[in-house]
Amino acid sequence: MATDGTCTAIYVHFPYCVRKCSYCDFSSRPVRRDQVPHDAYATAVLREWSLRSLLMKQPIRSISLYFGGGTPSLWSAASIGRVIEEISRSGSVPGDAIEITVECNPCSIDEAGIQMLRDVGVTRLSVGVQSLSAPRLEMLGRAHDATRALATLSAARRAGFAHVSADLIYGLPGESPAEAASEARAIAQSGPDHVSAYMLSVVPSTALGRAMRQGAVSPVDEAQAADSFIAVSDALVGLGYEHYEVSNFARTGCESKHNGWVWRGGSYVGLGAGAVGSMQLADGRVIRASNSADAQGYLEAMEACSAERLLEAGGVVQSLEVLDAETRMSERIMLGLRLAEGVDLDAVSAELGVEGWTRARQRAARELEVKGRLVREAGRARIPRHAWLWENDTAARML
Amino acid sequence: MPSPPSLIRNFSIIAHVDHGKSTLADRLLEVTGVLSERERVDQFLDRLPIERERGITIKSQTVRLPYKAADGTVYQLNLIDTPGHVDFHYEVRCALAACEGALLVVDATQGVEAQTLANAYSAIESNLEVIPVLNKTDLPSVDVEKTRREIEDVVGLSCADALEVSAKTGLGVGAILEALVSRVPSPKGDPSGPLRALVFDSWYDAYRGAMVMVRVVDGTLRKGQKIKMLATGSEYEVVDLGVMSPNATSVSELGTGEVGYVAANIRSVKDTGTGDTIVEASKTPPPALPGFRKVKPMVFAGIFPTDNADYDALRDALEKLHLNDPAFAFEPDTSEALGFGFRCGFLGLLHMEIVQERLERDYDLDLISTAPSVMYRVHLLDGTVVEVENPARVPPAHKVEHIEEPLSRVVIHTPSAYVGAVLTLCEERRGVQKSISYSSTDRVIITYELPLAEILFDFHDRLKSVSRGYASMDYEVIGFGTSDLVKIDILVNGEPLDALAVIVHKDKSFTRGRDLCVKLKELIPRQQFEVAVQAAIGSRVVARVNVKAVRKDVIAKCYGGDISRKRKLLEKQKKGKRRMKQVGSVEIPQDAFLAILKVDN
Ligand SMILES: Nc1nc2c(ncn2[C@@H]2O[C@H](COP(=O)(O)OP(=O)(O)O)[C@@H](O)[C@H]2O)c(=O)[nH]1
Ligand code: SF4
Repeated sequence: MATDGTCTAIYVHFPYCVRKCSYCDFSSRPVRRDQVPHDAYATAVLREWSLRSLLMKQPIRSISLYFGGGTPSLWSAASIGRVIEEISRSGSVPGDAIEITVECNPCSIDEAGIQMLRDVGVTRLSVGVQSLSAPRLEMLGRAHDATRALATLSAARRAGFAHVSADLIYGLPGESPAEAASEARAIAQSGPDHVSAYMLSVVPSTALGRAMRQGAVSPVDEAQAADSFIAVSDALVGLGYEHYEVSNFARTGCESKHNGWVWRGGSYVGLGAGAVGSMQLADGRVIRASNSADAQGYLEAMEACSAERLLEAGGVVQSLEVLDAETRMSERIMLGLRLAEGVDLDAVSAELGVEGWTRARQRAARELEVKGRLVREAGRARIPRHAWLWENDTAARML
Repeated sequence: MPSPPSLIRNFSIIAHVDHGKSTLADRLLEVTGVLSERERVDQFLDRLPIERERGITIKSQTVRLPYKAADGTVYQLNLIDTPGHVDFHYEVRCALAACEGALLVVDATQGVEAQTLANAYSAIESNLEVIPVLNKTDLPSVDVEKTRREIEDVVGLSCADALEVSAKTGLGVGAILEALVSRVPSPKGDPSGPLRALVFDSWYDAYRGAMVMVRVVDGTLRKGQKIKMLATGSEYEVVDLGVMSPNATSVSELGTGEVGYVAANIRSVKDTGTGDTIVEASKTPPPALPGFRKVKPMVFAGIFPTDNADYDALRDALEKLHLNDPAFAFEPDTSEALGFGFRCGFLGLLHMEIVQERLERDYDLDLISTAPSVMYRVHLLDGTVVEVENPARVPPAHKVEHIEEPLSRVVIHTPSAYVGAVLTLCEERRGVQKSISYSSTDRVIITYELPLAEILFDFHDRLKSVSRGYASMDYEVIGFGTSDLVKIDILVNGEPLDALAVIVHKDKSFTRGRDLCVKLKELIPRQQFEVAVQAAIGSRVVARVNVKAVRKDVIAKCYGGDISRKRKLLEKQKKGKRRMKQVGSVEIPQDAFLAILKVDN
């Protein structure tokens, strides 16, 4: 998929949560529900959007708008609606409806709230179910129970969203592969057309990481987690989902358009505190900009920001990288190998103007093929489902 | 015009590492105006980066210093630089043979150390006038009296006229120059006799071919002259002659006693053996100068490209290195495990490290090197004797009558507090004590005979660690001796991995085998499948470990915000793979091939 067009995905990061989950290392800070700066944050995001659009290759055509977090379902539907309306105004691809996703946490939204999101134009809801077992939800530090999570899924269906996705975390300490698979099945039965199933990764700096170090929580068993990966995949594939990315499953035609775009190398604008974007500038260069995670600093900086400031690292923008063609090739391989379809190195090579199947990559591919970890079909390389378990190592060899 | 021999002084500076040889050389260049303060590069004589890092000089860099003495006469001083490391004994001797005098630099805060003694003895054996120079007298911790006593008692040199200097501040450097003029004899030689010049160094120049550094012993060497190298018999025409001062300057002739370089369209440094004699081609040759011998490598290791496709690039790089360093030998080798590569011979361990570093640094090659080994003389039951320099090639035990291995004499200088630890180390390494004596109340000189192979197994590092860095050593190979040796084979997933085979003494074979397995378990990363590592002596497995399989290596989330981080992580992971060799279905990192060196006793 071409990145040198002017199509783009837009990611809006909402950096607040009511409380921090034990495993979370995302950019989010706890906030009291009545202190969420609904309007101010929307104003700041829209300000950033207007400045970023000045830097980008024109005309801009948005293909998706994704509200992630943090907990964007804490944000008022009115503010979300304002952002949707302004951004949609700047243009989309004619005849192709823009996908608008909001991530929501079952404990921060009720049926009325869900309906309001639908009313302001949201087309897809992604619900953080995470687990259906009470002790495991507690271990994860989630404030909701299984009933509430499943209710949120059905409410979303009732409200008429075109697409509903559910998040599941498996591979938790003490969880067997059979248990992981049965949770996946139970979630699927509540009707989402998309499931994101994540193997738990414990980040040392999180509350869960600390608990594990102190021995309060037993460590993850590597073999069990690996078996759970296969068990969850088998369960969902058995129910008719396609395992289309390492951690994502969808009914036919119900892939996340936003993420699919990013994984295939499409450009995406990141807006908000802690957001990351990768976009093509008017002069053709592709940059990746990461905004500082400081939400308060973001609100203040946006009051007097300029387009030029967004091209300097050190202020609102914490880091800035210019991505050369080789780097982009590496990323396309790394992301493409996480997709069931793989990556067509010849096509990417033609697009970026750098060699795809270098001698080193051909050699690496041959060695991986022997071990059953890679399949080559003409210019395309892909990892078979069971071999995704070694995806890091495989991608590193193919970089 | 050549100087008359009476106005020439040829000398070297000899010292233990870090005692100030390079600093003093710099100061001499500066004081004689050869190198102005402004254009001075720190330690001019130590140019090569690796040498600079390690603080040693490997390739001689010789300079002519014009010096106007206190008596008003201008003398030609030739500073002949000698390699500063034990691996280059022979080269040091050749360079000393080109001199009449030597400055023995001793750091007076440290006193006499192993290489002080070894170098001083070489100089005395070469009949040089040795002038003791007590250096670093600017430091508060200096102990001039003690150092004088040590030089007198241990080296056996009178210190009545020893010079006290600071190479750093320049204090006393003038007195050194005067001492060179008054105490070092002028070159003897016969200016009217047939030409004889001693080759004491050579290097490869990309434009002019092999260049040699010579000391004219008799007669005169002229541009255009037809010359002959006695050892090889090859003849050449002198295309250019010159001296370094410090940059190359052409001269039309070099007279008796003078030192300079010769360019003669010599294709390879191989044809310019250090120690060889240059004579005039047309005449009946005079007898060769004494002392020439072909240097023989003592330490051997396999060098293989990580990627077999780099074989040609590796061969080219080895050939280029060999041009400048004929002491380094290589020949094609194949290993079942490592594929096509080369078996390389080195003068010693340091020489080996230098070559390996150059290959990787200057030629950007990813290499796998096997653990260093010595050459074994294997006496077979059928009466034949084979020389084997690769443990994997040692014939099976049932065909072997006995095996001889190289022995070395090691001289260790240590503060008395560490004598016990040093003796224990030498005993563990199958050493035979030869002598032990005090050089002063708190310094001891220990002499041992040790199998050279034991020195290769990390001996120097162990010596440093048991003596907290205070002990110093020097070693020399003295011959061969019979030992009860066995081969340990390492099997990976049941297949013997030839490049990991080692020869060890029978008494230690079980512990070495076990320790080696344990070390390999640490060094071989977990892979997709379980890896079994076994040590076997003959058909008997003496140790076994398993490297557990990796079940998962995957990151669950990789969204827009994670991409850069993950890419950087993978790039790092990929770098780590560059030093791995695929052996069958198992990947073995470079470190594993050197595991035997890391096995602590
Ligand atoms: N204070 C002091 N330091 C010195 C003197 N001579 C050499 N050094 C230092 O001792 C170290 C080793 O000197 P160097 O000339 O490289 O020793 P080499 O290994 O014998 O060539 C360097 O850090 C020098 O700066 C001196 O006279 N006084
Ligand atoms: S809701 Fe999401 S972002 Fe917020 S703390 Fe939990 S895991 Fe982190």
